[in-house]
Amino acid sequence: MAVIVTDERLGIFPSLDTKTEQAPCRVACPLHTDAQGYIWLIAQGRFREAFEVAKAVNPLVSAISRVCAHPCETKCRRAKVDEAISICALKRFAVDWGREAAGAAPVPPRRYSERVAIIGGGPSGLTAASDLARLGYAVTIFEKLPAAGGIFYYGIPTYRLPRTELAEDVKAIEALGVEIQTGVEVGKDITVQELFDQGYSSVLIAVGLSVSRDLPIPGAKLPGVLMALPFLAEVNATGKCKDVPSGSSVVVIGGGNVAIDVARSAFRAGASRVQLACLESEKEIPASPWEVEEAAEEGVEINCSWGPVQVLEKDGKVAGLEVQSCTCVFDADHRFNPQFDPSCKMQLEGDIVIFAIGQGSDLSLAKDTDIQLNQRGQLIADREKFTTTQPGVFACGEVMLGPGNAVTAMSSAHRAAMAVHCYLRQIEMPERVEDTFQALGEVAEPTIERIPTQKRQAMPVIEPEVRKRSSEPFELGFSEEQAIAEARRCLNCAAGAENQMVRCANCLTCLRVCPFGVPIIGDEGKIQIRLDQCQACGICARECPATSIELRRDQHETIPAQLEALGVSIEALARTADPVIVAYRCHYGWHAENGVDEEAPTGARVVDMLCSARVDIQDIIKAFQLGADGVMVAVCADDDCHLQGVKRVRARVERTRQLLDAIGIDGKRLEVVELTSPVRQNFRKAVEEMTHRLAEMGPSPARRVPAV
Amino acid sequence: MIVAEQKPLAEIRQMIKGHRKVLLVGCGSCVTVCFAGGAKEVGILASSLRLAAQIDGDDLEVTEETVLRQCEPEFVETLRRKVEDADIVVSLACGVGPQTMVEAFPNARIVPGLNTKFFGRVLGPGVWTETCAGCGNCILHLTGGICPVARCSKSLLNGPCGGSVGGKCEVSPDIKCVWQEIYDHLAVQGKAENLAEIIEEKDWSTAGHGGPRTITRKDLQI
Ligand SMILES: Cc1cc2nc3c(=O)[nH]c(=O)nc-3n(C[C@H](O)[C@H](O)[C@H](O)COP(=O)(O)OP(=O)(O)OC[C@H]3O[C@@H](n4cnc5c(N)ncnc54)[C@H](O)[C@@H]3O)c2cc1C
Ligand code: SF4
Ligand code: SF4
Repeated sequence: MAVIVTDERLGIFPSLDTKTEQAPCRVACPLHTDAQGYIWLIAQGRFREAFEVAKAVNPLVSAISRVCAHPCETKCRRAKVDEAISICALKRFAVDWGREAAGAAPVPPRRYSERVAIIGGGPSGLTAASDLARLGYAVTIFEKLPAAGGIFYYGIPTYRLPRTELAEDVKAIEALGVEIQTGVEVGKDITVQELFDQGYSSVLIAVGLSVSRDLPIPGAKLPGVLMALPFLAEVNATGKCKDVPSGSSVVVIGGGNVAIDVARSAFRAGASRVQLACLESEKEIPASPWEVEEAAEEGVEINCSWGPVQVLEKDGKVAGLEVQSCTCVFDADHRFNPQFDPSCKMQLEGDIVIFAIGQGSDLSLAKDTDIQLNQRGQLIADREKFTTTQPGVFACGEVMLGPGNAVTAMSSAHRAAMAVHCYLRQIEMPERVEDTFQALGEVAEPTIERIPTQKRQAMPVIEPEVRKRSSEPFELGFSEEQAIAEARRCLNCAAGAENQMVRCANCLTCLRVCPFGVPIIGDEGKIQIRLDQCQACGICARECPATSIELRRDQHETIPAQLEALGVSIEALARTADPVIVAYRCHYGWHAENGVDEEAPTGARVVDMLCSARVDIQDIIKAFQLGADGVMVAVCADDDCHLQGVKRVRARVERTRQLLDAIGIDGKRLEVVELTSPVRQNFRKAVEEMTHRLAEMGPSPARRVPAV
Repeated sequence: MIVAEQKPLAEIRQMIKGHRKVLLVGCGSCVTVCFAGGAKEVGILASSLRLAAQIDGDDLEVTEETVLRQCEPEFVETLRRKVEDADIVVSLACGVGPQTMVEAFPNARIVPGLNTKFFGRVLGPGVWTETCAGCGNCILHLTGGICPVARCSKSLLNGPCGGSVGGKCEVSPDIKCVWQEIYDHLAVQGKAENLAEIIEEKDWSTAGHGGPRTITRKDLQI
């Protein structure tokens, strides 16, 4: 089977590289989101493009950017230098700052006659619908609730996920032509057979896990004993829960993220005290550490290593929960097999008990069909082919995978959509290029020593005392300045230098100029640029005398187009008498200080470079060829360049000056300007002064300006 | 390696004057390594020529090419179409390159873009120094591995001369006296007494003073 590139598969990746070695963040993401790609774009202030990269594989990018479990951050290589990149917060920033300007929904390349029915409008159903629509199918989602989104709609607390964000995603999916029929429960309002009878050629089950489980302990059926999902749904919809009067004391059973959501929501519903009991020890607790921390900040009392014995009763009502010490949760084979010490018990007082110990599926839709369930009532489905026991009926998401995080469910949906497509087209499932990805190795100690440390930006949040009573989002999002500072911290894994070898003369220039000691003489006795150590500063690529080094992500080839877009061309400038300055400006330096305010026009035509060390002699000559009267290279102060490239640029500029003199253009028309504080004022001043000097010198001899 | 230096732009412009289609041919070996004539320098020269022509209102078309080794007829042969299409070819190779081209393309006008300097090595980024004179009869085993033929201003075999002062050559204070270096090096090894032995008169017939040198290896001839 041929490996096909995702571009061709769904037309969803905008020309991202598909090489084997990839940034570990991208490999760790079940959707293989190109995090390095959008972070790089944020660092350049290209927020719309950043959003588009993030969205490419993720039709729920707005919602996910608020709630993702972000396995990418766990694998981030920056952690070894200081702290991981705040990847998820940057994605949210890309959404907040880039979504509005993003382009319209893509038009499918072709339309097929077949229609596909998707049961369940949660993250998986929506993802599969988006893919199938983009492939050219007519897709209908049947969702039993009044709105699409699944757990994102009814389960996740609104203080984490404002529903307006989810609505944006759903709107974009509908814009692809996906029809969403809400309030239709398949199995009750319509059967699977009826879907086929209505002309759907294939059915995809994405019903998730919608039933909260309880435990058969005494008192479990008392009034005042609630289930996690209905409780959350009610609080999310109304801000309160009728069974939880204001001032209640709530005991939550469970140690996962759902339990934490329930506990924190209980405060928001009006509870005055919230206790939580879970089997796991503090170390084992399955909820994400940041969730546990935030809950504790809000006052949730977390009792680890306690198992429920009975719900205590007084006058027919809940009086609390009796728990016993849990001595160990997993056995030697890591199987769930909790052991208790009945001699050690305690009572957690309270008038409400909420079970948050897990969810199961409701598969009543399988009745009277060929869709088989196993003895435990779970759907029988092939995890590679996404088929069920009934031909034409497929499955994806949590109903198939069991509980997990949303991106994992969505990843299965991408593949299930492909399976449906292949079934309808009678073709084999193609291999996925993502499955060939390999995470770059670790950053080595000697490289780490050369990377300046930079603190991770903290997400601004609302104070615990205020937020615990509010259903509004408590995370406020990065400012532009913060986002750019955070994005700059990224090590640009797998985006750096690659030696094309064919032209390489093994001159060792790269080895000598690299600030990070990346190129070495390898085992074969030849130069070897270690991609896994490269920081993508670009210095070697610009210095290589054989032009043998290419950067996986480079802006270089776009410079002529950028100049043209800035109106720098002989024709365009023919009627301009004012001096024209092209400024190649270090984007890092420009945004180091004041990122937020609008750039007031200075008259200079600015080309932003991600490190001025990427400016090439030929870029400078090009600007003069196109009619610039002067070229400015704006660099950071030597010590401020975290890529240590300034010295190289200065030397390059000096040589170019001499060349210009020889060419017949006064070398003084080329200047290096340092972006020192206050950056904006100083840059403006430098442009003004240079404009003045150029005016005195008259137009560059390379352009002919008619006498004014 | 062979170390060369690009000719001044003005001289190159003078050579191509009156020609419209200029082909620049770089070499991917020694002169790439010494930043005189690799793909990068070919690119910079091309840009410079274009801009200079633009200023003077000249109609100039510059094409860029770089072959792996311009001293090989087969590599050079790959340029045939481009050479035939050009009005003039500027070779950015050591002196061997243009001559190989002339041999291959007798009708083409080929001019040198570089000045070939010496056999040398890099002392550090951006600095190269002459290290071997190619005399054809190596005596490094007698001189502590340091070549007086290439590195003594007078190529003395039994130096130093009376002009050696404080480790510097009398020709210029910027030049180290190589005989001082030879002495110091041998002293470190405890072999300074070797210098008491007079190095016999050297056979210079191999050094190229008797016309161009040729090596013939019968085993390799086809
Ligand atoms: C409280 C809670 C918080 C969570 N927080 C996070 C988080 O912060 N980050 C994260 O990554 N993951 C989180 N998750 C997990 C995440 O929500 C799931 O992985 C994801 O929602 C699974 O998507 P799905 O589409 O498979 O199922 P669901 O989201 O459950 O969607 C299934 C949909 O199918 C509908 N449906 C069911 N039966 C029928 C039927 N017969 N006919 C029509 N429609 C039907 C349901 O109404 C529902 O809309 C959380 C889960 C819970 C319960
Ligand atoms: S440093 Fe950047 S590219 Fe590397 S793993 Fe972290 S976020 Fe991804
Ligand atoms: S010089 Fe920069 S781009 Fe080149 S290998 Fe070193 S870190 Fe990577």
